[in-house]
Amino acid sequence: MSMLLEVKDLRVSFKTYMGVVRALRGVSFSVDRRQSIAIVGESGCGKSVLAQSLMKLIVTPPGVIESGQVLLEGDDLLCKSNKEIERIRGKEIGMIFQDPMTSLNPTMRIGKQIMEGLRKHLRMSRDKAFARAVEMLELVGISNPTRRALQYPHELSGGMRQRVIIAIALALEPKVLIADEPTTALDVTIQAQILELMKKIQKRMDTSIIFITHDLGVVANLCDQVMVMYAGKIVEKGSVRQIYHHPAHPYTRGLLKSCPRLDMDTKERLLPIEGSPPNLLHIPSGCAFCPRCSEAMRICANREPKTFQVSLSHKVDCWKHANQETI
Amino acid sequence: MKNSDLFLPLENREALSDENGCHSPSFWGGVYRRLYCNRAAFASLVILVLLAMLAITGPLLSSHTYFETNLTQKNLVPTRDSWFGTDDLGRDMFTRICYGARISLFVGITAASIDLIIGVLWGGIAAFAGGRVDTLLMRIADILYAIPYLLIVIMLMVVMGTGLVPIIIALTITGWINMARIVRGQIFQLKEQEYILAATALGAGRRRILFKHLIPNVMGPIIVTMTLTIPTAIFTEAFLSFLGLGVQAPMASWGTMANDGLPAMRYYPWRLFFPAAFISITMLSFNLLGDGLRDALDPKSRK
Repeated sequence: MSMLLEVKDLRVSFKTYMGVVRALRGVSFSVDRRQSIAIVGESGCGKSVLAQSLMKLIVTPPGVIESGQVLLEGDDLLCKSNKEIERIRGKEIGMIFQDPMTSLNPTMRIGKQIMEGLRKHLRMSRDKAFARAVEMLELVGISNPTRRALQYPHELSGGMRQRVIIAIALALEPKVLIADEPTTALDVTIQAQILELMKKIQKRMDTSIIFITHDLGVVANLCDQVMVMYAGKIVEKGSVRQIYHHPAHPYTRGLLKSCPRLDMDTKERLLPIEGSPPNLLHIPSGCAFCPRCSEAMRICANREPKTFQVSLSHKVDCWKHANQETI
Repeated sequence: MKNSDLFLPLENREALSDENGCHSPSFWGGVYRRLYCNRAAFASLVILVLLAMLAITGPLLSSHTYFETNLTQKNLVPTRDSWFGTDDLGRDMFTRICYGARISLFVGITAASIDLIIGVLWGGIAAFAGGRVDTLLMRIADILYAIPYLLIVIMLMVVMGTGLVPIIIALTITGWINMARIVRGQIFQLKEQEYILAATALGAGRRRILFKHLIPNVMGPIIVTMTLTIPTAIFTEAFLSFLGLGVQAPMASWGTMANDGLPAMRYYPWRLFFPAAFISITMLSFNLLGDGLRDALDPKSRK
């Protein structure tokens, strides 16, 4: 049986007056049913572009999907017409947005916003959709859901709004849920609650989750697979254990060193990665990380690294592993 | 209740929780409260309601009709019988003012509503479609805007004759452009908002996004623009009637009455005073109300 969602060599660019910004430079990965994977990387590495291209939400122009396929159960989403993709958005692939303050329509009642998708995709009656909306609000842990459904977003706190956004996405029971930094805008206690909630709901609804984040801590207890993204490419891919305990790419090692850990000596300093990510307008001809890499070799400056297999499920794009098998 | 009873366990805890008790105010409730706090705007609202009531029921209060002439009783000062005096044909000024209010409010509200519909659709579609459609639609609006307004009106009057319908057409032919520009500007800002992307990600179609998500969020500026369009329309109607291009006798409009009263200003000043006062009060009220609504509808001023 094929994978639930397969992305093959996805390339997305933006044509600006400064030149062509190559936001995604050949991204491939796959997600199986009930699997949760994480995509981590620093700001501007193309995480959100990736999330949006999966649902063909890239605004064209200026965006261009140059090549690649997004296969949902073997069906390529990128060659679908607008009408067809509208039927898939929300229904098959749901999305949770980053900022709960701006991703709810301020002039529409909470319940109505949950009902919208139900009425469009499932053709539910108003009463049935409302009942379902209340049920969803209850599921995401909002007290007194019937009353909340009749309120406007500004009457709810940030954490509650994020729960509402999750409820909207889950009401249609999508097969894949893309969560684009769902906890970034929340404080730490609420973050933990929301993550707990997502874990619980995933078990209950059997969805796959693609978790996009720059917070390595969030990933650790939620996901099975981790992909590290840098400058529009996936540079390392592996299980949580492999990535955390045996990082193969110097960038991943740098990321881990720059994160605080509980078992760290309090006097120990965090090590930032020197320099800044490359300008996606002018990507170096070799490895994009080469200018910041402390372990760079001559080959890194000239030739783009191939993908090497460190172990069965652990892959890395770095010349340091050139003695391993290529794919 | 004895003192010692106060320390027994609490029974009906449920009743205390705010989840059941307090009702949060709705959006429009908040708008009304803020408008109420703005004295000038609220007074304007009251004046406009009174004016509307006067326009509807006023003629019933007096025993005269607006067209009945009485040459033996012309140019009378305001008395108990004719409250605002009579004009040079002996017609009752109060009754005529009430009819004038009907015409002014009718013209103002109709013109503003037509502006609203055309302007919102035009601006909304231009901004939402963007690109070439936007350029085309907005350049058409620019061209219309560039033609001298009075010229269009006079030409229309020549072609269609005078009367209410040509006035309304004349008012709306360029009046909607303002609304279209405001709506376009607002929607350009709003369509980059994340909730629009979120709605797209839920599979909402373009029409649904425009009408259910974008336009409701532009409602504030739309309402404010509309309350500021109405006085302009009323004034323009009065102005055209004053020039003799508007409604014709024996129909009464504040503009024609002011025009009639102008030559007699020295001897019978009330004939100019009353229509002029009504025009001024109405315009002032609409403008103050529009200002008040702008503040009341502004989400940032929410307290």
